[in-house]
Amino acid sequence: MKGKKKSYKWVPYLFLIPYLIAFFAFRFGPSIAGFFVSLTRWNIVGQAKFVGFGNFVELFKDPNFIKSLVNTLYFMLLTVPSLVIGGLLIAMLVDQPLKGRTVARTFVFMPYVIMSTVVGVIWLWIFDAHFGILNYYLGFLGIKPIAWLSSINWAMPAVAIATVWWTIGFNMILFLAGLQDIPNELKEAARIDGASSWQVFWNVTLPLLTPTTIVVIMLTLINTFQVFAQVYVMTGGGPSMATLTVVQYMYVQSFQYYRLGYGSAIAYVIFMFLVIFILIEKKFLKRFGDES
Amino acid sequence: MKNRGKKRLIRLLLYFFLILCIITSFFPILWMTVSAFKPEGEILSYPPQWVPLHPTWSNFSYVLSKFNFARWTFNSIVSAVVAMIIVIFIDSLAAFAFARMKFRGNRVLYSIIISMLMVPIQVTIVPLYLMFANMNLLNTLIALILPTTGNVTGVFILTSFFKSVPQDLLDAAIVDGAGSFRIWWSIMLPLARPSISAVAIITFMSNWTSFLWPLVSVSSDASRTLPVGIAQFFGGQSGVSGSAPQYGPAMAAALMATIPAIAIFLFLQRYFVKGIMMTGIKG
Amino acid sequence: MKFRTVLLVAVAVLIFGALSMAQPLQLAFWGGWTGPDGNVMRQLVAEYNSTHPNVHVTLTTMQWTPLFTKFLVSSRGGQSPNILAMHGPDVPEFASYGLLTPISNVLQAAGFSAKDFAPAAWNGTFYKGKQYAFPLDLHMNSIYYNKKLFEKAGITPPTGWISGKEFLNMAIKLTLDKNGKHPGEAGFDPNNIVQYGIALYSLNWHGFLEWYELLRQEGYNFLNPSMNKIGYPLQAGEKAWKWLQDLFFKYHVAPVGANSPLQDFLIGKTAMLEDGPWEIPAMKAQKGLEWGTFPVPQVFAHKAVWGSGHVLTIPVHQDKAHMKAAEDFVIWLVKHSDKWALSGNIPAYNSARKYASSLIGRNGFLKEAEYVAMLPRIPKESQVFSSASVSPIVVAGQNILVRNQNIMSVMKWMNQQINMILAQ
Repeated sequence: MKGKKKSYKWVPYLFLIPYLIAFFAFRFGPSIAGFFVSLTRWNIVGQAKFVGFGNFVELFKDPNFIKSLVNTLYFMLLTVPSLVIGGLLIAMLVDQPLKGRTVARTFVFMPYVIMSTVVGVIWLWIFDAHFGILNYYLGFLGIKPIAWLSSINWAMPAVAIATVWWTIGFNMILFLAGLQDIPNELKEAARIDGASSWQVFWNVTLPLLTPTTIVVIMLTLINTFQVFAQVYVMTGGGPSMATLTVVQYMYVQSFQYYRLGYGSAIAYVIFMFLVIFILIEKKFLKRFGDES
Repeated sequence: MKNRGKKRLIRLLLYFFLILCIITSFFPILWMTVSAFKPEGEILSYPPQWVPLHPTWSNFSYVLSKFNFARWTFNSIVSAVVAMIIVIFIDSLAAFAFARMKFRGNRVLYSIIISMLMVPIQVTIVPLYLMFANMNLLNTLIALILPTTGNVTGVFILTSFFKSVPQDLLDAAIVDGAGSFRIWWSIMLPLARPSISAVAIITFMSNWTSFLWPLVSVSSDASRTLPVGIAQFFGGQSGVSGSAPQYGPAMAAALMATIPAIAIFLFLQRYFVKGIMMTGIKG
Repeated sequence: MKFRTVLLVAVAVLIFGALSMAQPLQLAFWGGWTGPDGNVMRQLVAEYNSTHPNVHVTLTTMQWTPLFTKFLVSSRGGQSPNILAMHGPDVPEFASYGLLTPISNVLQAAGFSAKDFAPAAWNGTFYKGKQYAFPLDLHMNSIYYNKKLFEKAGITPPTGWISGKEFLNMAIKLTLDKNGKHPGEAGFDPNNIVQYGIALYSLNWHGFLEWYELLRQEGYNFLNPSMNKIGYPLQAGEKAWKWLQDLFFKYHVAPVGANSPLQDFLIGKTAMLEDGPWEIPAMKAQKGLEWGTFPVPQVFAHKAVWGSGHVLTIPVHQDKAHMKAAEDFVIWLVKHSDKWALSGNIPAYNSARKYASSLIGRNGFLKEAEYVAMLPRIPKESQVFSSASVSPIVVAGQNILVRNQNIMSVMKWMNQQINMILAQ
């Protein structure tokens, strides 16, 4: 056995090579190229001018960028808990042997496949202050019309609501797959030992689900930090930059102001922030994992 | 007696939440569906009009007759399905190596790959474009497929799932003398069916709704995908675009565009079934 | 046997050759018309294709922002379209990047000269003394009005230019609270307004444009003559903002923070709307709406209205044959631009504009045609006059017209931001 293993040292690389080729060619390479762009001043068509870390220096003095960063953190605060916990709860619900669970899975996931521009129109129709249907039905409850998308206080929560609706299906799918991986036998054994449903969930399901939970939390952090389409189609970042997010700012600088170097610098600051987030998350979850 | 009553209550409660989930997620889509059958002037009516007063097929016939909708759908399906298959194949191979094999540079390589999740994808657009322009591959389905194959999410999810497969299941196969490829093919893949179908769904959908890359990489109508095609007659926000909004055709097109995606979803979600033990023993 | 083979090959070669000769020259034409205007252009293109069998034009439409992104990226890869539509004020930026072909000789050869076009449209095609574009149309703000609501209020809609005062009185009469009271009357409740006088844009960059036309009515330019600094006196700017701000917060004749003023007007929530002619197809589609247009109010000393115009450009990176075919197509399009009026836009070509006057609802726009004030044409247009949320002009409009902030301090901030961009 052991001898065999030794002689096939190259086997792992054989498994890796197809993916690594694709990864280095289409993801890593262009990203590194993007990093070099961030060291230049470049409008896409002209000659790139090397400016060192000038873009980064400018960035940290740019009040719009600071604002977009604060907004994005606020957005994460509003969405991450509901996306993770809600995703788990829905996944557990549609994991039960209930009639119509396939229908529920499909409907919860469905918003995820709709084009972003159409999602924008749908939510404009829901949130509009004058003809919006949310205000129309809230009116029956005696609640005064709220200018959801045009007030600086309500715009971000409105975007957050739409985001949860739009992307919770993604987390549901991951949790569902994770739940399926937990052998029924373990849960049944616990139940036979007299554990209540809650105890089964807390002592069996949740610990066994930890790898999935880590994946989901990490992807949710990354995706919400990089939120773009929802904001772009619902508020465009307004009013008064109340919903401006970092990736949107990067998009504006790169593709609307044609300052690709500056935009790429934003991308790499986003990268730095996310690395810090993920390191913190890992530390936190490790401790959580040790305790349970 | 008491216990049974409690069980019934819980069941009732579960159904209540199930229906709640269905309603809240479907309700905005219902509006899209209803709007697709309304003439333009009725769509943003007030108070809300849930049944079209003058139901019409004109939005659908407009989209289907004026534009090459069938071709866009074909391109979308082909590029998303091919990308999905390639991704599942190469990602599950790589994830198997990362999760279950010891080799030099495992952790470093894995960290490099995962770190790319944190670089916003938009930054790669222009470099990718110049690369595909050099290879003379713009305006092809290949240009729509290849960049997806370098995606990170799939490897990340699969590695994490593969790690949690109990080692004794694999050991049994190793004792039987199965090679790495056998283990990967006949034990790992069947065991990880739920997670593989999750990755398949996610990969398919991200290709299905992708906009920026298909927008810049493809110019000819013959290789356009659905989101870029639909953008031809739908601008999103009115007032900024300088064109009058035209919601009806966009809603009809969006509705038609969800159908293949839903079909794929229904097909793949069937693999969310508990079958682990059964297939595991076969080895 | 052998002879027959040779013959067969010869015939095949001939057929193949004939086929490849008959293969029409392909032209890619990009424009930002995503609504019913796109259909009108597609029809024009189809007409050209059917009458010119050796050329085939393919129109690609898409919102301007991603379209220009795509244009820049494609130009870098040497794949620009053969014809690109844009707005007059966009010309300097793309011309300064070296992406557009100067075309004054082509215009001359086709027999076009300045006097054949509306002056604002013609002037919008130049950069640094060179002409880079064919003027296609003009589109400017105007006031749309709801005939039924005017009738109910007992107001005869004006047909020509009216003063700011007359306009305000009208708007007040058209604003009603729950009890049927107008603003200014005793007991008027500004929190329960059921019908507003006018829908004004305030969340997007049109808020700034409404102000810009008032500034021009006072006789000032936004930038200094060398176009490198803000050039208007603060007091003039304040007066213009004040007039707009009062419509929202003092007289309550315009709903604050409307997401979609067009929809508000279409469903009868407001009796008037200030918007461009591109909305005409939406007006026509709305069931039960009877509407007309008249010019924007002349609030200050001069008549002026914000406007812009579509122009057609020939990007570089193409061979002579394609360039020639593209020029021929554009010349044809300008000459047949009377039908383009169906999109709502007012043709720039004088003889084509006459047709527009026979169409309904064009009154306001036609009366404004000679008073159009375009934005200054500068190479940094995409940053200075951006419609993005971080754009100083957008934020200024939101702060003043939605959040009712102090005009002077907002304006000073806006000026400083714009001076900074211009100095970069």
